[in-house]
Amino acid sequence: MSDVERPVLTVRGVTKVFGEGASRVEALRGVDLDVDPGEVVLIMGPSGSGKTTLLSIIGALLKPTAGTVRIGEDEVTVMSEHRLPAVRIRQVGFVFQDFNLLSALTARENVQVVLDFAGVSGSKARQRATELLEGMELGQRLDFLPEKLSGGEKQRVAIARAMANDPALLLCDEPTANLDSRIGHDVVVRLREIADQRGKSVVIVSHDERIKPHADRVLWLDDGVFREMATMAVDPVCGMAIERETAPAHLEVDGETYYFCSRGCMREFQEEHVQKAQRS
Amino acid sequence: MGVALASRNLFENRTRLVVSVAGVVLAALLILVLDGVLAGATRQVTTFMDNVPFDLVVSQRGVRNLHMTTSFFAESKLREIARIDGVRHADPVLYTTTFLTLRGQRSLAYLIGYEPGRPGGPWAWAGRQVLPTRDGIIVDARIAEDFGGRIGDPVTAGGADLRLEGLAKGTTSILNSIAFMDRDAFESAQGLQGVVSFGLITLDPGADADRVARQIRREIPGVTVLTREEFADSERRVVSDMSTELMQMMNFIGFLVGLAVVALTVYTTTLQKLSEYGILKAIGASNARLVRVVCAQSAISITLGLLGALGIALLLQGALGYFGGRVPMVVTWASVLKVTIGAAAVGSLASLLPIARIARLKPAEVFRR
Ligand SMILES: Nc1ncnc2c1ncn2[C@@H]1O[C@H](COP(=O)(O)OP(=O)(O)OP(=O)(O)O)[C@@H](O)[C@H]1O
Ligand SMILES: [Mg+2]
Repeated sequence: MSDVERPVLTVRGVTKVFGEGASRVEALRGVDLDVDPGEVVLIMGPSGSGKTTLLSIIGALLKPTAGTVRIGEDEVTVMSEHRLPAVRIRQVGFVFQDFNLLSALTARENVQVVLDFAGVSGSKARQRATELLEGMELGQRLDFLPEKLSGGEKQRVAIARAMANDPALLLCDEPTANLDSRIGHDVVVRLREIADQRGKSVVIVSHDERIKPHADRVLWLDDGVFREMATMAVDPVCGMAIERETAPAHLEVDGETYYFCSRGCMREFQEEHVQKAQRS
Repeated sequence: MGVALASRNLFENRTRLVVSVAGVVLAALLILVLDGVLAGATRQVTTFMDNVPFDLVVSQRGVRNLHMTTSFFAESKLREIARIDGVRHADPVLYTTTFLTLRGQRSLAYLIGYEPGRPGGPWAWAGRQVLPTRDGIIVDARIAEDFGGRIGDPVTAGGADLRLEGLAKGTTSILNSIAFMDRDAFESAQGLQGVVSFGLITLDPGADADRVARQIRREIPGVTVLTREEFADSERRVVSDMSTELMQMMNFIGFLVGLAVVALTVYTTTLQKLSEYGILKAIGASNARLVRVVCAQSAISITLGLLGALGIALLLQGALGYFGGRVPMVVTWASVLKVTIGAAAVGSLASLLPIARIARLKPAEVFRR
C-alpha cells in the first residue's frame, strides 16, 4: 500500500457517552470513518446528532468511550494525555465557526504563535507565517489586529493558522456559519484548493448546503451514527443531493423510490417517465 | 512568542497595565525607601568611628559602642597600652551623652572631651577650624543653624557653661549630634580625675592590629579592645536592633501589597483571556507553554514595577542629598536584591491561581460556547 492510498484518518467503532443515569447521553454510537489524503468530507446532520463530538474526538480533544482513532501513524485514542498536544499541534489544523483568533495578536502573530508552540520561532516562523498569509491573499493585512479584519479575512487567517505546522488533516466546525454566502463560498473553495493542491484531508462539519458540491463525500450523522448516503439521495432531475427524510417530494416507480428537491422536479420526472413508457 | 503574547495581553488594556505596574512600584518603593532611609541612618550613626583616625579603640570592659553607654577606665591603663610594642600613640577621649542648650533650645548630643590637636576632635568644619579652649565648645553646624546660634553664643553642655567656638560638619544622625570640648574642661565639669572613656590607639606603620589587640587583652585587665570596624558594627547594630521589627513588618506589608495587586491583575487577565487559553490548548499548546505565558506576564509587570520603583528611589536619594535632608537615603545593593527576590516570589505566587485555572481547562470546551 503506498502512502497516497493510506487513509490519513481512520475512525473505528467510536462511541461517546456523556453523563450517567438520567442525564446519560449517547452522543456517538459506533462511528466508522476513513478519510484519504486530498479528500474533502462533509459531515451533516441535525442539531445534537453528535457532529461536534465526533470532530472533537477526531481532533484528539476528547477521549471516546470506546473505539479508536488513528491520525497518520498515531493511534491517538491510546495515547497518554500529555502527548496529545503534540499530536494536535503537528497533525491537525482546526478551523472554528467564530474564527477564534487571539485578539491581542496581529494576523501574522496569530500564525506565528502556533509555529512557536511547535518549536519554530524567530525569523523562520515569521517568514512561514507571512507566506501562509500571502497564500490566503492577506499580504496587505499581516500586521492587522483581528478587530480590524472582516469575517472572511479572519477565517482566512484561521485557515493559515491551521496550516501553519503543515498538518495532514484539517478539521472545520461550521467554518462558514458566521459568513455571508459569497465569503462562505470563498472559504470553502480555499479549503477545496488546500485538499487538491497540497493533498490535505479536510473534514467539515456544517449545515451549509452550499458546501456539498465541493465535497468528495457527504455523510449524514443522525443520532450518533452515520446513515451513509443511504439516507441521502440525488434528485434524478437536477442532480442535487437531498436528505430522504426531509425531501419535499418522492415517487415510487417500478419498486424504486426517487427523491426530489421540489415538486417541480418530481413533475418533470413523471412526465419524462410517462414519455419513456409510451415510447417502449 | 509566549513572552510576546503575555506582553500583548498585558499592554492590550492600559488600565490593567497601569494598575499592575503601579502596584509593584508602590510595594517595592515602600521597601526601598524604608531600607534606604535606614541604611542612611545607619551610615550616619557611625560617623565618629568612620572619620576619627585610630586603628583600635579601648573601652571599659563590655562597652562596645557609644549609644546609651558609659565607659570609664583608669588613665594609667592607657599609659601602659602606649608602651606596648607596635602602638604609636594612645589618645584619651572622655565621653558622655548629654543635652546641649543653645539659644534656649535643647538637643541630644554625644559630648566628646579630647586633647586639642590630638585624635578625637572634629574632622570637617563649617567655617574656621579651631581648637577648643577651656571654656569653649564645638557643635554641629546644622544644630547651630537650626537653633539660630552663632559663634560666641553661650552653650550649656554636660553641666558646664561654655561658649560656642566652632562649627563641625557631618556629625548629626537620626539619634543626635556630636559636640566637642577640651578634655581638661570636661574633667573638671564632670568632676572626673585620672579616668578616660575611650583610648584611641594608633599603630606603627606595618604593625599587626590583631597581635596588638591580643596583647592588650592579655596584659591589661578590665578593658575591651575593638577594631574600628568592630566598633562601628556594634553601633550599627543598635539601629538595626531598634528597627528590625519595624522593617520586617514593612517588608511584609510591601510584599502583601505587591502580591495582592500582581495576583489580582494576572488573575483577571487570565480570566478575561480564558477562552483564548482554551483555543491555544485546543490547537495544541501544552500546559507548560501556557504556564510560560502567564509567568511571563507576571514577570513583565514585576520587572517594569521594579525598574520604576528603583528609578524613583534613586531620584529620591538624589533629591534628598541635593536638598540636604536631615536623614539621607542610601539605596543599597542588598536592598535592591531583597526587593527583587521578594518581587520574584510575588510573581510566582501570583501566577499560581491562574495556572491552576488554565490547567483545569478542557480543550474540547473550545467548541462549546
Ligand atoms: N460535554 C458534554 N456533556 C454532556 N453532554 C454533551 C456534551 N457534549 C455534547 N453533549 C451532548 O451530546 C449530543 C451531541 O452533541 P454535539 O455537540 O456533538 O451535537 P452537534 O451535532 O454538533 O449539534 P449542533 O449541530 O447543534 O452543533 C448532544 O445531545 C449534546 O447535548
Ligand atoms: Mg456542533
